[in-house]
Amino acid sequence: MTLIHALNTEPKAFAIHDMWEEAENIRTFVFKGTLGSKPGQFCMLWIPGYDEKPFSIARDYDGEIWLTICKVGPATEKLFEFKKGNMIGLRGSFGHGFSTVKNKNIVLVGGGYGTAPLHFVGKKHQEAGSKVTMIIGARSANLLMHEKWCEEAGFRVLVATNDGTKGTEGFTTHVLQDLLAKEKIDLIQTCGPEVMMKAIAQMATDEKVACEVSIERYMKCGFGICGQCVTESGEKMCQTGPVVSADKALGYTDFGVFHRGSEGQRKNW
Amino acid sequence: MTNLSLKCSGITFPNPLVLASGILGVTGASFAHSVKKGAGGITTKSLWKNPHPGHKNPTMFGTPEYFMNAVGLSDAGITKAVEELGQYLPTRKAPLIANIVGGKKEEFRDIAIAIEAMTEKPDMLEVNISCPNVEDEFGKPFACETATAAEVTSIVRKATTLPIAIKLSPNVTNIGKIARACQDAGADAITAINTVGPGMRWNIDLKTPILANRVGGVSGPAIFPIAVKAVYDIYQSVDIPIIATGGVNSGREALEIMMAGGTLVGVGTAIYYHGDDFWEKATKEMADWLTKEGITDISEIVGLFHQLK
Repeated sequence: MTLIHALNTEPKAFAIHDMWEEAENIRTFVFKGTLGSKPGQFCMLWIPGYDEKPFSIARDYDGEIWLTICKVGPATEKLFEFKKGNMIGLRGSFGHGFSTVKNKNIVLVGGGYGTAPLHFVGKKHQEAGSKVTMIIGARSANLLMHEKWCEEAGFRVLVATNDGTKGTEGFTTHVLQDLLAKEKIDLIQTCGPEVMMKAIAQMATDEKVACEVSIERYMKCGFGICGQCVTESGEKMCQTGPVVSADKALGYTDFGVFHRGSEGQRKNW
Repeated sequence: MTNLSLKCSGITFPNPLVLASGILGVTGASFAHSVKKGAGGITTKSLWKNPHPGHKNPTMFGTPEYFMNAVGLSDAGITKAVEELGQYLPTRKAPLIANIVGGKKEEFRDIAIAIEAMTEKPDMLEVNISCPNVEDEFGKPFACETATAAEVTSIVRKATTLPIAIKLSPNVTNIGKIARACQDAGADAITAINTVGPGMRWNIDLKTPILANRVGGVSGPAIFPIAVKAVYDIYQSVDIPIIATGGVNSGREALEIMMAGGTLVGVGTAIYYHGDDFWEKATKEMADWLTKEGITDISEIVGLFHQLK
């Protein structure tokens, strides 16, 4: 029998080359090198002797890997204590990423720190001659991320904040609804809270617009062995996903409803 | 094409390849997916009496030659497991083996009783006795001493009507003798082998052990020869079927370990090396070989090597 792959999934060491704040509790870490990532894939970041967690990849080109990380728990709190030159481990890239398409009208929708992987895919679309609109949403203006990156890249950037401190007051879905009414969109790609993505997947399906969502599930290994990230369809989100079509996602009975914790217990969104 | 179905402890399996404990065995949806892809049976991850958090990451990694893990048997406890299994069991298309574990002897009994009380029960229990015995002064695993292995077997035997397989550790010098003691204490089958070691690997740049638990069990292709030898030895010591597990990475290797004495074959890390297509590729490879050899009943090859002079 031939091996389909003879993976080596040992972590490799990287030094933190640079880092800066993107927004409150959100920081970008830069490492020299590449994981050969496609937009929408993820990697495992190992804080040696502490813990290891999955993160989406904000950029992997020009000899640098960028990860934009939100401080959400003990592991990320530990990481935020790290300084330039400190070493961490990375493995990946893993999973199935976003499609890139040529000469189309693309809308990317990021909610909160789910915005992290979208600039990367937007750049690829742009290189392929597509027009990119980026809708960025957050609870408040101080939590918005990657707005500047997207503006500098020449994307059309639209902002929504729940409290109206910047852009449209309300949700990204309101902004998307307006766009859908005004222009022909060829593809919507989204990453963010699952309830938001479910609403977007539904809107896209109703309007017959192609759509891809990035589904976050608890991941222990990242490469299809532990079974922690399996949806109710039986598919592993670390391999079939994290990016799947809206059709597929809407078929998962857990999509937008519940996910599972570290011991496999159900947790409602 | 040769029919691959066979019986183990009175239960019919559509083919001998069963998902080994600890791989993908978290939810009913996951079990159903593996069966759809061609698994002949499913073994759940190890179920504890109470919720068990497991180790921090990294919990596993692989190289082309071997795989290491120290997941720490994370589990939400038997109450949750009974709920999850209760939903899955009525819909199952292949047998389900529930793997149970405990730190104290009576925990094995309590889990077996909880499963016995289910309306629709799993087809078999697999008893993981390779974990440390917290009541032992040195935390020695139950599987490492003949008397303790037999004692746990006897406790579970009294608590359940289901067939029970005892999963043995290879990290002993007398696996055949331990298997025999389990049979005499009422085991219906032996699962062999659990992971080898533990082993240890470091990252030299980070100067840190890769696994958060520092050490972990070794599995994957490198342990296949150890598994074949253990199964061969056990076959000579017992009259009950063996669920042969350990680094099987192709249909040909599955046939080899069956000829060494395995009735069923546990599949774990092969999913890492080949993905979910392993089931279909391996069963086809097995059926083709059997057809070429003119063998129509796969159970004829179980223990074949022992008939050779």
